[in-house]
Amino acid sequence: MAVTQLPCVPHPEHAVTSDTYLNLYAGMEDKIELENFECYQTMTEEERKTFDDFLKSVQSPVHEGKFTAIVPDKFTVLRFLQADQYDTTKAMTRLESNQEWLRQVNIPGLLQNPPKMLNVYRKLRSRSCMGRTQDGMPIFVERLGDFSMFYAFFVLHWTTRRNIVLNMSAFSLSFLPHN
Amino acid sequence: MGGLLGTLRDSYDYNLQNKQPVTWKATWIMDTKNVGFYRASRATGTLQLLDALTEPNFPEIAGPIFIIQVPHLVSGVWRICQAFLDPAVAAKITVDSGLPTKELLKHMDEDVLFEELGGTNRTVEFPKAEYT
Repeated sequence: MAVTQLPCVPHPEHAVTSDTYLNLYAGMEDKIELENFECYQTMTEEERKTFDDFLKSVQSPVHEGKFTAIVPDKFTVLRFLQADQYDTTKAMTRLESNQEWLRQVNIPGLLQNPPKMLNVYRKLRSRSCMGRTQDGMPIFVERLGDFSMFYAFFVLHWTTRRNIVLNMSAFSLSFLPHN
Repeated sequence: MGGLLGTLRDSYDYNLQNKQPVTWKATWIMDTKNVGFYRASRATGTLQLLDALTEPNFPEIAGPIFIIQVPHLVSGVWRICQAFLDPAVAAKITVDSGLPTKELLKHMDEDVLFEELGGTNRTVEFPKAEYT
């Protein structure tokens, strides 16, 4: 019988780096095979051909100039292609806009200097990784109603505090890096 | 986001060892108990912001999403909205005004599901927010 319970803390070998924010398996490429993924096994011949051609076009020298932030690997290319139902034009547009986002956000800088509100946010929310589904997916559970508004009121700056009542969106935005 | 990505990276070895399908998706259960209608309505902008961030930059990592214990009104509105959504997206999201234990157990084993959600899992503590 498959084990469906799991530890909540990721293995130290799988620590997240800045590259992971695009390439989920950054640093693990040598150890993993695309053929083991269920989404690859269930692809049709036509979809595989589209994927192979698209992968070549992404990694070809013509596009090298476009992917300067983080170069997408084959797993990422497949993920983006499947998200756009194998529409290569849409997938390429999404990959390009993602590169722009990666440049704007500056993930390495963000990991080195985490936003000062991040720790506060982690103390206010209630989230857990419960186990795995029968399909092997990790299950995250979040109690949105437990978000400690009452305590948030005491630990946050008054401008943020005001937004708890007046403007929930601005309250959420206050946790983002630029604040 | 780092914790989620780390767990998804863990999945590869873990699922291969346990002969489970290897996937880069995660399942979400959002328990909205005690979320008032006013607070929920004020959070629309946040949801749009999150959607604008995750949809283009982290595609295909969301598996089934269960939004549970929502007010009856929201559940009714969802049924109407479903008709206008992309069928693939609508099929992924389950909105229920109660505890859809039977539906959850179609996806996960009883010993995985937290006791408070209708399962028998007592081994993993559901952490309270630190400021409670």
